[in-house]
Parts: sequence; C-alpha cells; structure tokens
Amino acid sequence: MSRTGAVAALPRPLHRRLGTLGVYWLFILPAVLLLASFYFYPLFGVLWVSVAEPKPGLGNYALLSSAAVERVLLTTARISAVTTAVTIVLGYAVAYALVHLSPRARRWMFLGVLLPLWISVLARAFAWLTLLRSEGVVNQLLQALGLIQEPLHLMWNELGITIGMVHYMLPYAILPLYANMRGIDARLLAAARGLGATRLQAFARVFLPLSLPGIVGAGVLVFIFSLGFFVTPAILGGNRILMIAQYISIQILDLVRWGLGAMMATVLMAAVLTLMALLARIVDFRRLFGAH
Amino acid sequence: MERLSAGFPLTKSLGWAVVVFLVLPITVVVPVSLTDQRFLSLPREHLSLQYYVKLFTSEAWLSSIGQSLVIAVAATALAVVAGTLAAIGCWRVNTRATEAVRVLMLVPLIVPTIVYALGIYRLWIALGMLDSYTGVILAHGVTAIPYVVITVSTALANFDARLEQAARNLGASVGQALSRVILPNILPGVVSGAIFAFIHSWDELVIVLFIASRTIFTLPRRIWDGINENVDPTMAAVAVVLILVTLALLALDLAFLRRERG
Amino acid sequence: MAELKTELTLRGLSKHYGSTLAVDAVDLSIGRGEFVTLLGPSGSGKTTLLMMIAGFVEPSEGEILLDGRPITPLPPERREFGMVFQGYALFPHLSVADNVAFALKVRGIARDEIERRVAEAVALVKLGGLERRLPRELSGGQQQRVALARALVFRPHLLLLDEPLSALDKKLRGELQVELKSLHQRVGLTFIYVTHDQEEALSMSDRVAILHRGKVVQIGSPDELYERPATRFVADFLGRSNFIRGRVVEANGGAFRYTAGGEHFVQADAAAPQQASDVLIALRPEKIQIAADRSPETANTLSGRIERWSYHGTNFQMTVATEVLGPLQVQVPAWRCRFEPKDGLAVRLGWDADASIRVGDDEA
Repeated sequence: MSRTGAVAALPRPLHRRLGTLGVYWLFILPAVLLLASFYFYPLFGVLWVSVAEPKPGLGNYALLSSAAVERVLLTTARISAVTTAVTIVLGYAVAYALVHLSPRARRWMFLGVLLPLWISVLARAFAWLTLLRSEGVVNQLLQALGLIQEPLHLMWNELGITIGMVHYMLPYAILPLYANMRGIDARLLAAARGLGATRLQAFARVFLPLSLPGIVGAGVLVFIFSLGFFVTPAILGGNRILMIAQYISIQILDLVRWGLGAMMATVLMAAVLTLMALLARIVDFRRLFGAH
Repeated sequence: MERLSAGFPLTKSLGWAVVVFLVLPITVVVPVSLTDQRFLSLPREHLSLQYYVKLFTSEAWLSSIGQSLVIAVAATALAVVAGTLAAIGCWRVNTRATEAVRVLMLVPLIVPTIVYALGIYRLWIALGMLDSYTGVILAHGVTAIPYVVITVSTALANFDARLEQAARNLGASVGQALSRVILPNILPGVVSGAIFAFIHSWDELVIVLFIASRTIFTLPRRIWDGINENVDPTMAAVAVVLILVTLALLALDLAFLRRERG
Repeated sequence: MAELKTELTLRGLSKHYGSTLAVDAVDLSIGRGEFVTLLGPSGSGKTTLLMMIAGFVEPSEGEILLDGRPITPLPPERREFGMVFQGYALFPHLSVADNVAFALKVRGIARDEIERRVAEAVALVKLGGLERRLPRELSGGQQQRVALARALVFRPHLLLLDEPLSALDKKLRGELQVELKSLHQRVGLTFIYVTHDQEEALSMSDRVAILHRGKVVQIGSPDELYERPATRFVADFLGRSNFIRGRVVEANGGAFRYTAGGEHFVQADAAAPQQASDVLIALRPEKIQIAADRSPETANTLSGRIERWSYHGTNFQMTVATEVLGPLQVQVPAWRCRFEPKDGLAVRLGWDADASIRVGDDEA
C-alpha cells in the first residue's frame, strides 16, 4: 500500500476504454443479449412469417375479412369489452372500499385481492370448472335446494368465459384504481360537502372525475390482457367459443397453417401495443402502479 | 372530516362481496380433492385422501412435478442473474438509453404469451431445441427477466447511490462493491424477483404447449391434458398442491421482507 | 514525510455536461498536511471538483497529480483517498466495526491486523463500546464519527470531506468543527473540505478556495479572504458588504481619490488604478464608524438618516439612507454606540482610507 505503488500501477486498459460507468454497461449486456436473441428475434420472426408464408405478400391479411376470422375477432372484442366493463365496476367498488377502510381491515382486503393474483391460472380455471359444470357444485347445490330442475348452462358459453376472466382480471384492475384513488385528497370531498353538496353529488362531481385516470388506465390494461388471454377461455369455453389466442394455437398446432396463425398473432400484438402506446400518452405509468 | 370522507356503507359491503368472489371459488378445490366419490364433486359420506395417495404414487404426476421444479429453478437462476445485473447497470448508468432499455425489458409482460409462443416455437424448430430442457428453461428464463428487473429496480430506488461510491472509495473493486454492499442491501428485491420468476415458470402453460411434447411434460401441461381428457378428482388434489406451494412461497417472501426491515 | 511540499495538484481541470461547464479550468495546489476548504454556493462546482479528485467523475480536460504523478485515469478504488460523504453513506447492513473494517477487508489484510487497526480508529474518534451497533442505532454525531474512522483506517493519502456537518443541528455542528480541527492536527493528514457554510470554512481552514460558476475566484487564508476580497462576489459571499461604484480622479503612490455620487473619497491601494477608470469599492458594515453629534475623525465622511435599525444582542444593525451613496448597511457593537438609534435620526458616517478595499467586478 505504499504511495508510489498505488500511483505507479496503472489500471487495466478496460477501465480506460469504458470510462467510469463503462463496466456497468457490461452488467446490462447479458439481459439485453438474452432478450434480443430469445425474445425479440423470435417475435420479429412471427411478423416475418405473416407476410412470407405460404407465399410472400399480404395474402394472409386478406383473410381478415373471411367469415371465420371475423367471427373470432368479434367474439374476442365482445368478450374482452364485457369482461372489462364488469371488472372495472366491481374493481372500482373494491378500490373505493380499500381507500375508506381502517388500516387493519384494509390489510385483510388487500390479502384477498393479492392472493388470487399469484395462484396458478390453471388451478383457478379448474376451480371454476368444478363449480360451473352441468354436474358441478353450483348446479348440484341449486338442485339439492330444489331451486332448479334442469342444470343451468354456466360454462362452454360466453357467460362461463366472462365469469372466469373477470375473476382473473380483478386484481389487475383493483391495484391501479386503488393507487389512483389513494392520491385523491379527502379534504376535497369535505370541501364539496361544506359547500352544500350531498354525498352523492360530492362523489359524482368531485371523486368520480378525479378517479377517471385510474378508470381509463385500469380499463385499458384489463382490455389488453383480455384480448390475448388463452387458458381460462380455452377451459371454460371448450372448443365452442373461440377467442383469438385459442384460434391461433389451433391454426398452428392442429392445422399447421403458419401464415394465418402468424397473421392473427401480428394483429393481436399490434392491437395490444397500440392500446398500450395510447395509454402511455394519457396516463403516467409510474403513478398508475403507485410507484414512488 | 372522518365522517365526511367515510364513503358509502353499501360500497364497503360490495367491496367485501367482490373479495369473497375472488377468494371463495378457489377454495372449492379443497373439499373436492377430499371427495369419496369417483367423479368431481363434494364429498358425500366421508372425507378421503385417496386422490392425494393417487397423486403421490403416480409416476407420471411425480415426474411432471420433478421436471417443473428443475425447469423453474434453472429459469429462475437465469432470470435472477441477468435481471439483477441489468437492473443494477441501468440504475448506475442512468441515462436516456438505459431508461429505454428498461422499458424494452418490460415488453414481455405486455405482449400476449401466445404471440411469443409462436415465435419461440419456430426458432426452436430451426435450432432443433424443441422438447428439450434447455429450450424450455431459456424461454421461461427470458420471459421471467421483467419480474426481476421490476423488483430489483424498486429495491434500488431506495438504495443510496453514495454507498456504492463509498465502497469504491474505500478500495473495493466493482465486483467487491457489488457483492459486499449493493447485493446485501437490495437482497429483499432480488428474493422477491426470484420468487415471482419461479412462480412464473412453475405455472407457465402456453409456451410449453408449443415447445414441449413428450420428453418434457411439465406439471401445468399435465393438468391441461387432464382437464381436456379425463377430469377426475386427482386434478383437484393437484390444484390444492399448486395453491399450497404458491402460498408457501409468498409467505416466505413476506417473512423475508419483514425480517430485512427489522 | 515533509520533504515534498505540494501533495495534490489540479491542472486546468474542467468538466462539462453537454454545453454546461460545471468546473472551468481549475488550477490548485494543495500542500501536505494542509486543511483546504472548497467554498461556494450550490451549483458553484465544488462537489463536482471533489468528485473528480475522488475519481467518481471523469474530467473533460486537465490533470490531477499526486506527488507530481498523474492519477487522472485511476479508478476511485485505486486512489487511496479517504472520503466522508454527505449524509455519511454508512453501510446500513454492517455494524460500526464492520463499516470501519470494510477498507481493510477488501484489501485482504489479515484478521488480527484488521482488529487492531479498527480498535485504533474507533478509539481515535472516541466511539469505544459502540462497535456492535448498526448505523441506524446511532445519533447523527456518532454516525459522523464512524464515517471519519472508516475513511481514516486505511491510512489514505488524504481525506476528502463532502459537507460532512450539513445534516447536523447548529450546536452539534459547532462542537464537531472543533473536533474535526483537532483531529486534523493529531493525524497530520491533508484535508480537502467542501462546504457552502462560510463560517465553517473560515473557522477551520488553513486556506479557503472560493468557487463561483465553476471557477476558483480566490484562494487564501481565511483572514486574507475576509480582509482583502479580490472580487465583488467574494466580498459579498464571505460576510456582507456595501459596494460603491466610483471613478478615479487622482492617483499617486499607495492611494487614490475617486468620485461617487458627486463627492470625493479616498482609497488606500498599493497598485493604484489608472486615471479616470471605473472602480468598485467594498466597504464592510462593521468598518463604518457612526456618530450622532459629531463627524468621525476619518478620511471619508458622509451624512445620512437612519432608515431602519435592529438590535442583535452584541450589536446594532442599521440601514442609513445617504443622499450621496444611497442606503448603506452599518453595524456597530452595542457597547460602543454612544447614542440611542431612532428611525429618522440624522447621523454622520465615516471610514478610513484602508477600511474599504477595491474589488474586481465579477457580478456584471
């Protein structure tokens, strides 16, 4: 540790070439390389296939107007829209309750919201299957109580898919809604009441408008996730109702129609990324997820 | 003030009702897994562990559980190393370029898995990596990187950048500063990221449907086949096991975070 | 040890971020064992300068020499400079002893040697008994001492201190100033100290370098800087000052006469300025004599009226409106004030030719 020793020993050339922060660029490298070669490269492969197979050109995209594809797109849009609407209404109620609960009660409600988020989507879809089948738990109970004679058709239709999807999406809606509502100053409502507004007026004229960014953010998020959802619709819809993700998987795995499947995947990705870009322009993401 | 901002009593009940809707249906698999019947239903006469016995003596189920474990552990290791280093690099360099890198690293969370599954399926066909451990581990590891980047970046946001400078000033090399100062202080974020990455791989179905078929048959894949071919109460027992594993991991994470905060 | 006089030399050191110049061609020589303070307002470049010395910021231009050898390309961990960070930057996951031992451990020093030197350093800053505590279990003053022990334990070439007292309350700050000063004398190490607090700089340093807009505007001993500020900025930043703009009418050896507001004044000055040139004179409030009934017996006199005044225990501070020079700040020790200050009271002001000083005008 002599003085001259430390000064005379010049650094390895790497330090010089990369500068003070250069080493840290090396830290980023593995993840960037991994994602570039095993995520983004194959993703672009899908885009490429959609215009290259079975023959080069936009032939696959002409199929968008075919009756079968149109039906899939419409079904997907309809189910996603209904899911989003129901999820936002129910999620809004939970977020509103979360904001107004005592800290103790809030912790419990949070637990109830977060737990399902991490439980296997397969396990959850399976649970709904056992509940909703014609010989499932719900029908058995209702029949045992004498409320119905014939079993209700609760799944293998859009109703079943929507129930399962709302259940899956709710936490994703509640978290941004809550993050947004937590930022609304309670004194504003008090001020509105002080100025003569009824409870309902204060809510409708002050709270609701202020929570609008949360509603938009959560809505777009849920809609995006719904569009590309595979597991729950496949299990609760059987093969009767096809949403786009399941349709794509059938095209590739069963029919080996790469061009059509890749085209649909490209359309799906384009829709999702466009919506996300729009959302990014309206809402600050960090605030949406309550970071900082 | 308190009274004015208390909200409507009805919405609280509605909120709790929705939470019940979130939690209760999942719990139905517990009684169903204990059924004494031969088909998927609530127990009639008595509770029975027969389907758990069946599950844990079935070579097929056990092998799937084993494969899922191996893949999840390896994918987690890959994601944790790459994701943690990248998050630290972005945090330390902190320019517009690294901000862009960070956003790009989150893309896998947004793009529907089915689209990626198509792409990686095609790439693995070309490289002859279909139905291999390496193929599944790489696909799961890469898609788990965002979880690690998010949790580690959050931990770094609360980490004083001067601590790294202090370590360097005291004679620590980049590597020593990393292992002796940065990592010990962001460990809770790394552990959370690891747990999320593990759960991601452990539960992943869509990618596996495309890139694995015979040699690799993970737990979600076997559940999927079971649901589509013969639904029997063993599936409920599997679902219970899955749920318990997840709960255990989350409890571990929580305990760790609590201990770290002291 | 004492054969080399100059230890650290900064030669034309600059740092720009894009088009902003944070540090602008700084030249500075620091002698062995000196206590040098870099003083300036926030944004003056003092912290960037320190960070370049420590090796955390790469200079855009210029060189840093240690004992005449260039160290500019050395990474921070190879410079062997101790540093006390703003807010201390103690490792929160390590105990006091492990914080202090850190530099020795990364150097792979033997365990018993580490123990011995940690005990030495802990004793040096009087922290005995607290070795097992975590930083968050210590008071601000104790944390500051841990930071000092940690920076000194590996026998660095010199010690860099970045606003080390800014997180503490005023009383504790005073105590620690005294302690730091005595520590400096005991260890005989070169201290480079960064602060924006003039009092701190004046009371502790051998020499103070004043930074303004990335440049060192003046360097000297505390009393030199206070008594003979080179520029308007220095006069204003160190203490308070009145400024008089005038024009030279007559200059001879050692003094010159100038006009301001239509009256003539005398200013002592070794290097007399040119005839008819514009000058700026700095006049400190406490250098002005004030009387109610008679004119002070000084080279320069002026009459005015008290516009405002306030009592500060040891002294009065007054704003005196003068027809010739506008409002002037005046400060009088309470025990020497022979009259009762009153708003509107007519007074006579006076100061000697060497009570004020000509300064460069850098505020334009």
